Amino acid sequence: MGVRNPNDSVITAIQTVIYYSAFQLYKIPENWTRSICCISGCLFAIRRELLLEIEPAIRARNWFGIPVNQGEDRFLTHQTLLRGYGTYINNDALCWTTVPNTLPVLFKQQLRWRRSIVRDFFFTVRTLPQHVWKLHPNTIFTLVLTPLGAVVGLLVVVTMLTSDPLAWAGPAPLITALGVGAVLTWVIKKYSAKETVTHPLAFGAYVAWSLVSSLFLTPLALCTMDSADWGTRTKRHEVPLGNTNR
Amino acid sequence: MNAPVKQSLHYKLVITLYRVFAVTVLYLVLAGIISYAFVMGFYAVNSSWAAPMILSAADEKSLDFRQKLVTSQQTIEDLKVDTKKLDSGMAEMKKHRAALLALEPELQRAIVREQTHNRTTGPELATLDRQKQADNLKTQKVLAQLKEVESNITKDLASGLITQGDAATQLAALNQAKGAYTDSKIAEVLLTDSVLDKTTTGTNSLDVLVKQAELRSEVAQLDVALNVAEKQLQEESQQIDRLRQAIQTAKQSPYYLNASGEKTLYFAFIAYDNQASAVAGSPIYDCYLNMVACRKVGTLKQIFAGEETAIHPIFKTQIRGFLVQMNLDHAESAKSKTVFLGRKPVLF
Repeated sequence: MGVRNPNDSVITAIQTVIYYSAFQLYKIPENWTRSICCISGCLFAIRRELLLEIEPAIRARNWFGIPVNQGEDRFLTHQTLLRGYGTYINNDALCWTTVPNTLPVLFKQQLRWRRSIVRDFFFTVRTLPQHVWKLHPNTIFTLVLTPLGAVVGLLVVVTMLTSDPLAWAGPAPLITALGVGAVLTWVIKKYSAKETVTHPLAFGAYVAWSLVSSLFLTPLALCTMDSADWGTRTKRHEVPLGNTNR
Repeated sequence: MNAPVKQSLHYKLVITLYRVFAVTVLYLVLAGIISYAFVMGFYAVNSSWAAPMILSAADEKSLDFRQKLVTSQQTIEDLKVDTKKLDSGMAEMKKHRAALLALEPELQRAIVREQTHNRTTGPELATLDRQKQADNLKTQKVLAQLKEVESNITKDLASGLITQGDAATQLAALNQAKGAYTDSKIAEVLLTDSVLDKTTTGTNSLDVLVKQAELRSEVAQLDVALNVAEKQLQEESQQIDRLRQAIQTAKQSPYYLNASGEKTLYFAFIAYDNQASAVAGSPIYDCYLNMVACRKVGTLKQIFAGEETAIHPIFKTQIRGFLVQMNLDHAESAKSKTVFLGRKPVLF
């Protein structure tokens, strides 16, 4: 998936690099084992009978009785995997998305995604025996490590700030981010010229975003699991169960 | 539309507890972030903080300091012994030099006297020697005639003209004359020797001159040795003074006070930026919550001159400053991350 607006702002530039590395690097091992853990809802192609089979489970999702209406794509992918199906992405099929170009919108989007990751992690832990017997080890690895990484990231940032309050202000994190950003923007320019980032140094701002993300998003997500608000848009007029006519 | 999930009482309780917990956690996170920002900002502008330090007598720096102090004192003692040795050596050399210097003119006078005497007696002896040689020549001529006399005596004895006694007496007188001639020859040779000694520079004279030169050389060597010893004595005395001064200066160091003192002493590190707050006698405040809820815990006793480096207790960067000694009424404050000098950092 490519980003349609890579140069709208620093925020879109960062997201362009993140998206590219996610789809071209991070998801590749998952693809090898046909165990992509989250297929984006807007690009999800699934067998009709499988969707109908899973639909009740999706609708029944709740957080201690409070209906959950976020992260259906992740849940759907997860359920597909648990039913023994493989999931994969076809990187030859190029799709374009417009990413948030302001901080409030990005924050809400990321909060929603973080909640769905955490919720999925709790589901995985609750049904771990099922996973161990049915799924490829790489799948379990990804299902457990990705959300755990978010929690660990929070702990790392807290530990860092308590032991060395100005560690984030040092040159090392910035230089690392700039280095990684420079390499990835060069790769993007070479292999996906349409989403070339004009100012590669913008990726240096990722240091600040990763601090905010670890310090705010993860605890906020953990503490607002009962929220049904999408933030970026409101879901209305849900189709009744079994209604295939639109 | 989703059929509403019937929430059991159990779930409602969980959700309530969860929400209470979540709100608390979020407020704590917020409070944490605000406190972090506040603390960072506070320490960025505050210039009255100091970082207490606990110096142990077994601390590497204290031990090193003690070792150097002991070594310096030992060096002073060694130098004192050395200077004493030099002193006594120099006294001895001076005495020896004085004795040699007293001897030298005597020797010179004796040499002059001897030379003068030789100049006088030499030619006289040479004349006498020539006289002696002439006398010996004459005697030799006379002795040549004695052979004939001896043979006549023998003939007379044989002929019975003289008695044996007479012959013996005459022969004895001839032998005596020969003997006297021989003695005279010996005396002449000895005289020639004496003349040679007195009229030329012989080995004996040279020996005396050599001894004179040796004496002078010894005096000169003593002079050099005395000079060197004096300089060395001066240098070592200066070294002793320098070491004493260094020890006096070192006694002003907190490591010395800590290493040599019986009771526990309290020190604090002050960054150069906060130098203005370091006034001897100023009160010291320790705070329960980093910089709020403060109480007076002591006073600043002494400021040490030497530079120290330390890690900033909050920012964890390396900073330069100096040490001070604190008089603490509450020993626990020595373990605080920071204390404040002069006044409470915030209003309370």
